[in-house]
Amino acid sequence: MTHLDEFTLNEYLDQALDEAAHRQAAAHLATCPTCQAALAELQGVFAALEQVRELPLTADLVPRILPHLAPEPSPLWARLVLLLQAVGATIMLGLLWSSVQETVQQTGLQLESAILQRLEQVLAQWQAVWAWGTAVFSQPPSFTITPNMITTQWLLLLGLALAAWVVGNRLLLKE
Amino acid sequence: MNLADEQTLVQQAKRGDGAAFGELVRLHQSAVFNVAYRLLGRRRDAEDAAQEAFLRAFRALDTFEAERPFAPWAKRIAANVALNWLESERVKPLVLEADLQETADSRTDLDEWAHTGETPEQAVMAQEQEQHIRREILRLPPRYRVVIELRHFQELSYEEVAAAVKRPLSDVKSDLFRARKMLAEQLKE
Repeated sequence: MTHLDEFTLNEYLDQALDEAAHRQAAAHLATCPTCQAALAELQGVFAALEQVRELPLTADLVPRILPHLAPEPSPLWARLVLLLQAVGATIMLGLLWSSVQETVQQTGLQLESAILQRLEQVLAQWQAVWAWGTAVFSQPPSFTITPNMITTQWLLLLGLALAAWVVGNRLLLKE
Repeated sequence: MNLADEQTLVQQAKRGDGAAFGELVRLHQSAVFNVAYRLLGRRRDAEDAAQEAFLRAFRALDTFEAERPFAPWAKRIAANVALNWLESERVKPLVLEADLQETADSRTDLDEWAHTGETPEQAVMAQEQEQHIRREILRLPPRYRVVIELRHFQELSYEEVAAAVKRPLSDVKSDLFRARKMLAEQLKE
């Protein structure tokens, strides 16, 4: 005779067998003293566990927990990153303001024409950016920020500011 | 307190209302403490673990659906806190017979048993049996203790236990059945 395995006996007691398996197990248990003894042993464990009662809690946890519910402040480095981003953005806006103001003041077709001309200038100078970048890195650094910088230098500066903004925000969002 | 009132407290707590969360703690601290006590065996450790469980629950309130009852969720967190502490050895395992004797702080006042209809002798025997099974649970490896806790005391299904401990269903079943076998052998002694 094949006896019920440990898994089947446990699942039988947990009522986790499907209907057919349960009927089969019950039928076997009705005629097998060995499996009946194994089942009784398991039932003893179940009964013993049911005897464990809840103990009274003698300490009140509420006063220990409430002081810790205030939101944790952001770490110092996160606040510094935020401050640097704000300062950098303010400087960039200040330096670009005269150019932006000039562009906004143009109206209708003049505005459209100016934007198209600007885009053509940017596209035309795009190829020069790489050459300029190569020239910059091959020379000792002598880079200063002034309102009269050429467009390519502005583009590189904007790109660096954008990268710093993205990296900073990734770090802040992760925190 | 009915479920609707509890849901109101949970929603208030989700909006950062500390007093509402404090009320949830007051309602469920005993149940959460008992989860930790069954797993850790020392009252002080269990109180600390219960405190940590509630703090984790507060920080994770965003992930909790207010329509669900709060106690089962908090008790599962307590079980995981206790397991983490046992596995990281933040609490010392109970290995000495003297330590295990600490668990004998179940009801000792026989007057408490009077309303159950049991005789004093039956009450003492029942208490000794309870202490025996508590000690044997604490002798189990931490992983086995947790599955016994979640299946027998929190009445989770196999699948819910596996989800709570983040382990495969087959592993959880093996641990549970082996734990029961170990308890059966210990109880024979």
